[in-house]
Amino acid sequence: MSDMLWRPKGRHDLASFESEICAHCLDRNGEGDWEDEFGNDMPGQCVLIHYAFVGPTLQWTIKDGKRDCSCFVEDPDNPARCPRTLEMFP
Amino acid sequence: MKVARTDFARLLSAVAKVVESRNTIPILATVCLVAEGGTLTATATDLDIEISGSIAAEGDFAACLDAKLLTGIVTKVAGDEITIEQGDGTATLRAGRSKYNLQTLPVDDMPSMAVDGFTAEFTEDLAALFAPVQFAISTEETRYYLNGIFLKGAVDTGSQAVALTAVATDGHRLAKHVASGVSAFDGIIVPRKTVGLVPKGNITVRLSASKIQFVADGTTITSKLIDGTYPDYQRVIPSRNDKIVTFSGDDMARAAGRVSVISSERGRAVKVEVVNDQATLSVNNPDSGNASEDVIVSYANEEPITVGFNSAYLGELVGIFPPGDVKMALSDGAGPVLFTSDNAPNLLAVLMPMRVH
Repeated sequence: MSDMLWRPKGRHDLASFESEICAHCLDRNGEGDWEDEFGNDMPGQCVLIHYAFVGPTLQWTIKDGKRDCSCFVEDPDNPARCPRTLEMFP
Repeated sequence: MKVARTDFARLLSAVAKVVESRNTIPILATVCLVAEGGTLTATATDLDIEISGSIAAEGDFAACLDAKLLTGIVTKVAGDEITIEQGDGTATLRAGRSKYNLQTLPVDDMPSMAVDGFTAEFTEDLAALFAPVQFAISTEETRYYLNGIFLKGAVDTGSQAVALTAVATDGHRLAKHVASGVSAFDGIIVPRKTVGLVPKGNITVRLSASKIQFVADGTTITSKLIDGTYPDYQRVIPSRNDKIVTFSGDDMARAAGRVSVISSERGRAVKVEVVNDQATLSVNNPDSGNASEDVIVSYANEEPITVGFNSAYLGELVGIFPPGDVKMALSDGAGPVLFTSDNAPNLLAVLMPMRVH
């Protein structure tokens, strides 16, 4: 059975997703920082974030009851908190 | 003011550790230099931690200079001596044939941390005590009371000896390291940044209800403690896990790392199935395939047991023990798992299993 798609309910929901998942992803900065047509330094960002509120993003799903991103590649220097390890202090 | 360049460089590198790379408050990016009576005292702070140290110096000086800039200059300039002259809002630094004019801030602007009221003092190699448990410090901001190492000096009711206990946990992993202590004190929580600044070797440690101070080699580090209640960690350390699996820690960590390559998702799960004297580690990723590897273990129980772990957690946790065998004590594969080693009798770790499909 395919996973259900997940879509942020609002900006706070997206921010929570970014801190839980995107912040620990190697591709969080997309293709790196860039300079716009006015010479301003623009921070690099994952392309999926741009489409967060545009339409269903196929890479964002609900897997085992938790939000997930199929493009996620864990940053070994900054690993995400494991979503499936049982909690010592629930 | 005139100082020896190598001494000054060493002093600055010790003190400037606390200065954050980005500061919104300008004074926190500086190091405060006060020279009088033949001694130069350098102080820096981030408002939670204050580091100060002293070296011999000739002449007087009192100003705050940019810490990163000054450290860079002092490590690069030639000559054995550095001279700094104070101007009006500036300082002129001379060394060899180099001359730098630097902006300064008044010393009165530098925040000072009250360093009195210490109720306990002892000498201990805290860096060695903290080293094996440091990996388990939480980074979750919501549970701020786990963002440090819990340190307690308690009298053992049986032997009447004082045991110094360091505990760290992030709610998934827990590590506890015990050393013999000299004075009993209530439990405190030492923040993660402070833990990283503890000097190696035996140091003098002073404690109060809200602060901790380390003194070593002419450097004094004073830090605020985390104001919170540490969870009752004793209750999650299993005492009745009777299924004991013994393995080479190095072999297990490497095997877990190899099989987990197949998965890149959050929480790479490795399933460990122990039958007789063999543990089979397997990872199944529906998107890319599966992998398995056998590890030779010692397991006396006839009942096979299966448990799932986050592979990164498993590898990191067995790595805290000295080279050699590690004992893994399980109950049913769903409860906390205890790790110990005969080579480190004062060290234990607990790892929570994960759901493996």
